[in-house]
Amino acid sequence: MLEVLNLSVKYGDLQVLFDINLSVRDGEIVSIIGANGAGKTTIIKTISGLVKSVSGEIRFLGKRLDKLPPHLVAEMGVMQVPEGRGIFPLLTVQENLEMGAYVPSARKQMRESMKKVFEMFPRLEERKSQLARTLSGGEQQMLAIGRALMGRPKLLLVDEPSLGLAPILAREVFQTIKSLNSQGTTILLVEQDVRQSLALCHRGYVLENGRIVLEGTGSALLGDERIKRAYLGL
Amino acid sequence: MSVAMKESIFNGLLMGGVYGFMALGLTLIFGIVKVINFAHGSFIMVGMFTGYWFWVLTHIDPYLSLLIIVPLLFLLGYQVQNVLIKPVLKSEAEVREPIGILVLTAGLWLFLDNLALLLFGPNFRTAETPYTGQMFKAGDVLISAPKLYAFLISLATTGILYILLKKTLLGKAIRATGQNRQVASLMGVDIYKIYNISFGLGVALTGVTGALLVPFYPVYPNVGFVFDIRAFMIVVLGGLGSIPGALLGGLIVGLIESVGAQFMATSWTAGLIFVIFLLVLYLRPEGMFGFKEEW
Repeated sequence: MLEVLNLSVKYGDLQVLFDINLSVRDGEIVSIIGANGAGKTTIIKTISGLVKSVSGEIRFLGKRLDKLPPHLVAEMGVMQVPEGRGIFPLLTVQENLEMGAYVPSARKQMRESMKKVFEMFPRLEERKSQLARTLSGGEQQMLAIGRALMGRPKLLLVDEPSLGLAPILAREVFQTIKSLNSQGTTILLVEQDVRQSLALCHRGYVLENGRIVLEGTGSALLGDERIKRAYLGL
Repeated sequence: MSVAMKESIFNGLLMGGVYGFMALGLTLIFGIVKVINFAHGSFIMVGMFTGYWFWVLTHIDPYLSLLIIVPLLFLLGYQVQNVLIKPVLKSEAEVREPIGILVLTAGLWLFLDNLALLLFGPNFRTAETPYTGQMFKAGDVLISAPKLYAFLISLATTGILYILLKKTLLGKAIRATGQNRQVASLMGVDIYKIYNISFGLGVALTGVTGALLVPFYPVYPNVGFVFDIRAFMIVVLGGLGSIPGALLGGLIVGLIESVGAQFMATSWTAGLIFVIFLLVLYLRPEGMFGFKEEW
């Protein structure tokens, strides 16, 4: 579904990604793990068009994504739960969700999508007329996920969903991601919580200093000695 | 209360409403595109001259001609953003303090004012419309008809803008873009198109003010400057980017100006406005309706 081939990205003179190759198949959850500053978020931003690559290709359903501006990437069915949630603070919860269904293909199904999101997150329905800035951190994360689902994504990019959440809430978010996937959404997950995200995913990639150093199934990576030493403190 | 006092309160409220409306375009452009538009006064001038020439050449009712002036100025603003500002905005997208755009809008101000000077000369022009000098009597108070009309049309247009921003999907996209442009683009919003539309709306609003002023205010090439300073103060008073803030700020400035003139020379009322302006900045730097987190 998504193929990233030999992707390199620079911020000015500073190269942050080197020859990244990765793929996400239909129906999978794929995790990218790595330390802060390894370039995880940059991969997500390059896929969604916010950051331009210097070389390499990104293909989605056979079409090139890497030359498109972000709004056209969204129109192709790639939605994102951005790092730090990125809710619209002075829009109501409902308006935030409506913005998620802004792309023409999702607009017609706005009503049904919203019903589904409210079924999944009843808290959001209770608070639908509140300004989004009045929500708690966990609720804001639900809103960010719900908003992305409103766009009927073929591929969902999830960037650091557990950041700044209490462990219980983080676990809830991972549960949500898992159940979304079992309902058929393909997910590319970027996450610092190595244990949780490897337990969750079908396959994972390990990113170090802008290079992919290891890849494999989630369980294989969890059992890998290097991962245990470097990321799990075992 | 003396008649003069009542009249000055009425007059202050009417002018204040127009001032507030005049500041809307500025606050809208700042709130959404995050560009400080130094050419704001010049667009008021463009609106005034457009209204003036429309009247002189066609003798169409000045309020009816708004139906033509609004789309005209919308297009002007849309293209100014699309052709002039967008490239600078794109190249400065990662810059923390985008000075280039300030220089650009300041340059536009000088350009437009001097273009008007070149085309129409420095003279003050007054349009003798059917409304010019017309008065209503309410009890013992005289109210200027064109000011009342300007106030009412300002109010109605603000209502339309409010509905557009609150109720339509376009309006929600405009507000979302103002709050988080990057995420808005991730939701599928073409933010540069939203900027074009917002700038167009801002200039159209500004143009409406200009046209509304024509029946009771003289037109000349740098007339915009008079309103510019007020508009900037009103916007800062109310909170940058806030629509109710702009309206309330406008009413306050209008009232001070008009009522203050009952007690002191008009040159002092301008000073009084600045004192209040500084006080608000000192006590509540984000303005009456601004939000701290937007900074």
